[in-house]
Amino acid sequence: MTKTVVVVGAGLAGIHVAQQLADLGMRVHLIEKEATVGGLATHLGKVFPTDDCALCLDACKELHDDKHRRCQYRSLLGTQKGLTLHSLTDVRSIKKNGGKFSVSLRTQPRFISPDRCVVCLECINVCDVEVPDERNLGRSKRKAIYRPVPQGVPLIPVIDIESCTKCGKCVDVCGVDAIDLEQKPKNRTINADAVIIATGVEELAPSMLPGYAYGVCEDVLTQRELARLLDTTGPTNGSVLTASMKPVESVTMILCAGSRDLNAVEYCSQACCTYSLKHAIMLRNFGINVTICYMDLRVPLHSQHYLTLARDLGVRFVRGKPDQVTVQGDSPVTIVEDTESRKRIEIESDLVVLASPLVSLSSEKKEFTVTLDEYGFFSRQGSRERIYACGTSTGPTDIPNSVAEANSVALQVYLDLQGGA
Amino acid sequence: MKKLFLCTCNNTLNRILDFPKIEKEMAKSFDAIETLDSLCLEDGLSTLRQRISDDDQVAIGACSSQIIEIPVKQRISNDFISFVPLREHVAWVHPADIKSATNKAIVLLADAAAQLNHMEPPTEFKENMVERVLVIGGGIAGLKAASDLNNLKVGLTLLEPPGQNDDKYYERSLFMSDNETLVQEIKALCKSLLGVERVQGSVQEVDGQMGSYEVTWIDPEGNLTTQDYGTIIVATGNQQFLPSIAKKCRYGKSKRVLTVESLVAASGKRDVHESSTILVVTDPDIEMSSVEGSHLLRSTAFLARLGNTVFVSYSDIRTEDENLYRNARNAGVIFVRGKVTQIKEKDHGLICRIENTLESIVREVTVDTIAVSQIVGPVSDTARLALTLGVECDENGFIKIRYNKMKPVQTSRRGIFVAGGAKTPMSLSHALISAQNAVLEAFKIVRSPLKRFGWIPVIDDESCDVCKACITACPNDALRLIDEKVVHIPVHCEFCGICVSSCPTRAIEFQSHNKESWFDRLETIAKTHRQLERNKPFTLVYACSECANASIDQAGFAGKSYPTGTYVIQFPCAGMVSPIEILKGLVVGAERVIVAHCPPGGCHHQKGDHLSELVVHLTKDMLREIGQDPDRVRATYMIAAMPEKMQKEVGLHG
Amino acid sequence: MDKRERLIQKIQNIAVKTPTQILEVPEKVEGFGSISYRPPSCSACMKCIEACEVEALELEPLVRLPEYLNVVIPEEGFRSKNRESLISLLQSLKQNGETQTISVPTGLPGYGSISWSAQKCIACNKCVEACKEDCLSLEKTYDLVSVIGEVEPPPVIEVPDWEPFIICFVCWECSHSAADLAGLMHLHYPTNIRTVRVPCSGAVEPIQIMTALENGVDGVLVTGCLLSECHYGGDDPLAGNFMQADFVRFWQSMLEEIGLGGRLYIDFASAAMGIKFAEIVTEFVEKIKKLGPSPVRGKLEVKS
Repeated sequence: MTKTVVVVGAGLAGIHVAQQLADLGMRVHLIEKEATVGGLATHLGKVFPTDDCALCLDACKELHDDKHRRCQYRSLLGTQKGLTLHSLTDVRSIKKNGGKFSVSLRTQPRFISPDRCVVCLECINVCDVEVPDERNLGRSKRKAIYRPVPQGVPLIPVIDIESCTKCGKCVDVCGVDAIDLEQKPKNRTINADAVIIATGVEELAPSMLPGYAYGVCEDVLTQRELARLLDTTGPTNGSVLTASMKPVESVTMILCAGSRDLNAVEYCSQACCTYSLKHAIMLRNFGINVTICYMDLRVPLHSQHYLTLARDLGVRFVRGKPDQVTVQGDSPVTIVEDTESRKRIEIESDLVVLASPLVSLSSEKKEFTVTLDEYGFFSRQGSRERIYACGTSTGPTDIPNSVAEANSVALQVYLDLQGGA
Repeated sequence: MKKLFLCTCNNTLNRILDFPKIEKEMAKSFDAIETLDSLCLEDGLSTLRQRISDDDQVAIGACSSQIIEIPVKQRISNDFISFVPLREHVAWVHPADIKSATNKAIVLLADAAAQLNHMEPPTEFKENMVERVLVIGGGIAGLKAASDLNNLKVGLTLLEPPGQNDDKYYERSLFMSDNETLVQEIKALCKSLLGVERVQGSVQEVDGQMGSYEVTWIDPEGNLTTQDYGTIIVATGNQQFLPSIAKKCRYGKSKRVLTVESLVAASGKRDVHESSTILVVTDPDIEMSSVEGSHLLRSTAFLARLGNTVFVSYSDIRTEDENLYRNARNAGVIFVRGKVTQIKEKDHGLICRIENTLESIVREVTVDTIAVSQIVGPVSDTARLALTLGVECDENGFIKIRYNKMKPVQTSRRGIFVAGGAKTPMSLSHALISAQNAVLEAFKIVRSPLKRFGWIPVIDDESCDVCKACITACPNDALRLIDEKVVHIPVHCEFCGICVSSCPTRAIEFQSHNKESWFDRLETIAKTHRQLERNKPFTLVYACSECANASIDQAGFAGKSYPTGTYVIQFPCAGMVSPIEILKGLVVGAERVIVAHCPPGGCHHQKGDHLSELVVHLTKDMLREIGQDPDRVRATYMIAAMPEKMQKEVGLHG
Repeated sequence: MDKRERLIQKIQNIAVKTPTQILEVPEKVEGFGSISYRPPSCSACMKCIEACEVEALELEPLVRLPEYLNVVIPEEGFRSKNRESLISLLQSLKQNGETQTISVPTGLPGYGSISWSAQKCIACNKCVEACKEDCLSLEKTYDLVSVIGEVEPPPVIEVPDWEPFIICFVCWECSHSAADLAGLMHLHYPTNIRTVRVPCSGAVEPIQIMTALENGVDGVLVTGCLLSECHYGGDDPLAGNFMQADFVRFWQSMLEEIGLGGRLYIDFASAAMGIKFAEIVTEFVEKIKKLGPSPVRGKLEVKS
C-alpha cells in the first residue's frame, strides 16, 4: 500500500526530501506557506560553494533520470508523479491518529486558478495598483497582482488582496477565466504516515540588538538584505546603492552580529562567515572597499577559496567585535577594538552589513508535538514517532549539508515506512 | 507529414506577432498549420492529440519548452518534436517592433522545420542490472551503508581491509565523535550486520559498467574472487597522520613527545589527580577541519579535567559545536595563538618557544610533555583504489565528487559512490548521513531496470583514427577502447555531445545533431533572415540547454528586451560547440556568434563550460590571424538568477 | 646510448665546418631520410608518435594556419570531414594579410602539429604507415644542417714530418687477397695504410668509419670485390659492395659538407688484382697528401 508523507516547508531541503520520496514511490504532499517555493535560497542570487544559482536543484527521476540538475524554474515542481505541491498553505495542526497523523492544512487563496492560468502575465500588465515590494526591502514597487520570485514555482501569479482595489481589470483581461477575486481559504486534512519538518530558518531581526542601529539608520542592513541589493533582479538591478540611491564606495561587515553571544543567540550560525565573504568578493569586484570585523573566520573546508580570494582582492580584516554602530551625519560608523593593534578604531562607511544570526522560524513551534532543543531547533530523528526534520530546521548550516541531510532523512523515512519492500 | 502548432497564449502573443503572416510564410515548410489559444490547457492538449499521428513531424511554437514540453510529451508519443519559444524568446522580449518580431518568429520556425529534417528516432537500450551492491568498507560509513542496505533487503557484500576487526573501526574513527557515542554507535552497527556477507580483501581489478561492475579482489590468503555488482560504495574512511611539525617537536627523538591520542589513552587510567604540564601542538600551516578541531577540544578538555595544565598552540580552531570551546576554556585549557618554533629538551622538561607573528608576541613555556595533534588524511590505499575503480581524487588525495552542492556522493564514474571519511574528514553524524545518501542513490539504481532512451553518439569506425580524444574528453566514462575500437557505453552517457567537438575527424556524431544538421539550420536561418530583414545584421547565440537557455527564458519573464536579430540555437552542452559551427555561423553572414554556457565550475556536464571557452579562444585566434575581427566571437556564462545577461551580452542596440 | 645516437655524436665530433646543404640520400641507403608533414589533414591522433620507436616525433600544441589556408582541397576531400570543413570555412573567411601559426589553448583536444627530429629519425617508415590521414611521407634527403648546426673550426695545427695515416677496410674475400698478392708481388705501395679485415665490404658500418676519423685518421679507404662479384650477394643489387657503394657516396657528400671532403674512398678489386690494389692505395695516399693532415687532429690537440 502506498504510504503518504507530508513535508512541511519547500525550501531546498524540503524540495529534495519530497522529490526523493516521490521517486521512491511514495505519495508526497509538499506544503509551503509562501506563494512560491525555495525559501531563503530565493533571496540569495548566487550561493556558495559553487557560485551558481541558489535555485539549482538536483533532478528528480521522472524528469531526467537523475542526471541533470534542474533549477526551480525548470523543475516544474508539482507535476512530478506522486508529488503534490500545496503553496500558500499553512499547517494548522498535526494530531496523532492511531499509527498515523492527521495533518490539518489551511490554504490561503491565490485568487488565480492553477488549472486555468497560462501565465500570459496580462493581468499583471493591466493592474494599476503599485505597492512597495517587501522582498526587495521596500525599495522597489510591485503590483497588487504579482509573481513574487521571477524564477519561482509555481509560475502562476498571486494577488495581494490587502492592496487589491478589486477594480476587476485583471478579471476582464484574463481570456481563460482564471481569476476569482472572491476565492476563499480552503481547509484540508491529510492522513499521513509520516511528517517531515523542513521549515528552515530566518535571519533574526537585528532590531533585537539595539547597539547596531538597525532600523535607526537605513544604511545598516543584514547580509540577506545585501544579497537582495546584489541580486540583479533586486531593487537596484544589482547596483549597490545607499537608501538615498547614492553609489556605495565602502562597506563595513560585522560578523557574529548576535551569534555566539550569550546575550542574544548562543550558537554559531555556521553559514554566515562564508556568505559574508562571498558578498565581500562581489563588492570588491565592483571596486567597493570592504572591511570585515570578525572574531573568528569559520569557513568550511570546501569553501576555503572564498577566504583566499577575499584576502587576495584586498578585503581589510579587523579582528575584533564592534560594540556599537553609531550614526554620524548620514553615514553609519562602526566602533571596534582591533585586538591585534590594541587600538580602538572608528570605521566610517556608506553601508554597514550585519551577519545576523539564523534562527528557527518562530511561528512553527506551537503546532508541532516534537521536542525542540533550547534554541528552537528540531531534533533530527523522530523514528519512533515518525516525525522527522531536515535542513536548517535542525540547526543552521550550509546548502550542501542541508541537501545531504534531506537525502538521508528520505532514506530513513523509506526504511521506517516500507522496510525491505 | 510535417505539422506546425502555434499558440497565442490566451490571445496575447497575437498582439505582438502577426500570426496570419507567420501562417502564410510557414505554409512553405509545413503541410498543416493550426493556431490554438491555450495549448497548455486541457482543450488545447486534446486537440493536439487528435491532430497528430504517430509518424508526424511536429513543431510547436508556443511558450518555452521548459513549460510546454512535459504536458505535450505526456499526450503524444512522437519522436520528432521541435519546440520554438515564441513567447519567452520573441514576444516578451521584442514588444516594440511588431514587424521584426514577426520576422524573427518566422526565422525560428523555419529553423525548427530544418531541425525536424535531421531528427532521428531515439535509441532505446536495456542493460543488465545486477541487484547487488559492493560496499568497500573500513570506516564507519561502510558499516552504516551495509546496515541500511541490509534493512532494505538489497544483496550486498561488505569488503573490509585485511586484518579488520571491530576494534579497528573504533581506532580509526576516534576523532569523529566523543568516546561514548562512538562506542555505542559502532556496537549498534556491528550488531545490525548479522547475516551480511562480510569478507576481507583488497580490490585488484574492476571491469564493466554501472549495472554490471565485475570486481575482483584478493583475500589475505591470496585467493582471488570475482563477482558482479550493480553499484559500488567506497567507504574506506580516513586515518590520522603526523603533521610535519612533529619532527620539529622532537617526536621520535624524545620520550616526552607523544601524539594526543596516545597521551589520552595513557591518561585517566588511575583515579589519580594528574598534574603534569602539557603543550598540545597543532600545525598552523595546515587547514584544520572542524572534525579535527572538535576532537582537539574534547581531548584537551579531558586532559585538563584530570588536573593537568594544558596549553594549546594554534592558529585557528574550527568546530561545529560552540560548547566544546566553552567546555575546554572552562576546564582550564590555555589557548596560545602562535606557531612552535623551537624546542629545547632539558632534564626538567621541554622549553617550548611559541611565536605569534601577527601580534609579534613570543612566549616560552616549560612543559613535561608535548602532545602532537594529528591531522586527518585519506587512507594510504586510497590512491591505488581510486585508480583501480577509475574514479578521480582531489588534490588532497580524497575521493572527488562531481558537484559539491548537490551531489554529495557521486564520484566521477557512474554507479560508484563515496561515503564518509573517504571524501573528506567527517564527524560521526555527518558520516552516517553520508552513508545514507550513498545508500539512497545505490538503492534507486539497483531497484530500477536499466532502460535508457535518447539520442546517442554514433561512431563511424572508418573515419575514426582511434586517437582517443573523445574517450579523454567524455566526462562520464561513456566511451571506451575495446578491441582497438572506440565503443559507446549507453548507461553512462549523459547525452552532452562533448565527444563530438573533441573528435578531430568528426568520426563521432550525435544523433539528430550531426554536422549537416547544424550547417543546414544555420543556412536556413541566414537565408530566411535575409529574405525578411534584408541587410540588417544578426547575431547567433549558441546556448547550452541547461543554464544558458534557462537564463534566456528568464530574460523573457523579466522583460529584459534585446534586439530582434538574435537567434538562439540550443546545444545539449556548450562543450559540443566546435570551431566549425562557429565559423559556419560567420560564413552564413552572422555579424557575431555568442557561445553561452553554465557558470564556471557549475557545468551540468562537468567540463563543457571550460571546453567551450577553449574552443572560442582558439577560434578567436584563428579569426585574428586570417584578418577577421576576433570580437565577432564571444563566450560567456548565463544563469537563471541573472536574467539580464542576454541583454548585457547582445546589447540594447545590437 | 643507442647506436644512432653514438653515430650522430661521432659525426658531430668530427665536423670541422658548418654544413650548408641538405644531402641527397642515395636509393640504396636505408635508415636516413626526412619526414615531410602535411598539416591540413592531420587530426593529432598521435598514431605516428606511438609507432615511432625512437621518439623522433612530438606533438606540438600548434595550429599551422598558413598551411591550412594554402592547401587546395582535393576533389575526393580529406578523410577527415572535420578538417575539410574547418579549412574550407577558414578559406572563405580569409582576408588579405599575413597568417601566422597559432598555439592551441592548453587542455583542448584534437588539435596539434607534428614536429620531427632529424637527429633521432631512422627512416623506418613506421610513422608513414601508421598515419591514416596520409599526412606523412618519407623523402630521400638528410637534413645535415639541423643535425650538425654551427661548427667552430678547430685551430689549424702544424704536424712536423707528417705522413698520412690511412685505415683501409679490406673485405675478407677478394680485397684482402689482392692486398696479399700485392705483397707477394713485391709491389711497392705506400706504407701509410693499416688494413682492417671485414667479412664483406658491405659489413663496414658507418660508425666504424666515423670512429676512425674521430681518432684523427687522415683518410679511410674501403675496398671490396668487383661489382657483381660479391662473394655474398653476387650480382644481386643488394649485394654488400653495391650497398656500400651507395653508402659511401652518401658519407662522401656528408664529409664534404662538414669539412672532411675527399678523405673517404671506395674501390673494388678481385683477388687476382694485386696491381690494381697497389694503384688504389697509391693514388689515395697522394690525394690525402695533397689535402693535408686531418683537421680533426686540431680538435684532438685541443682536447688533450
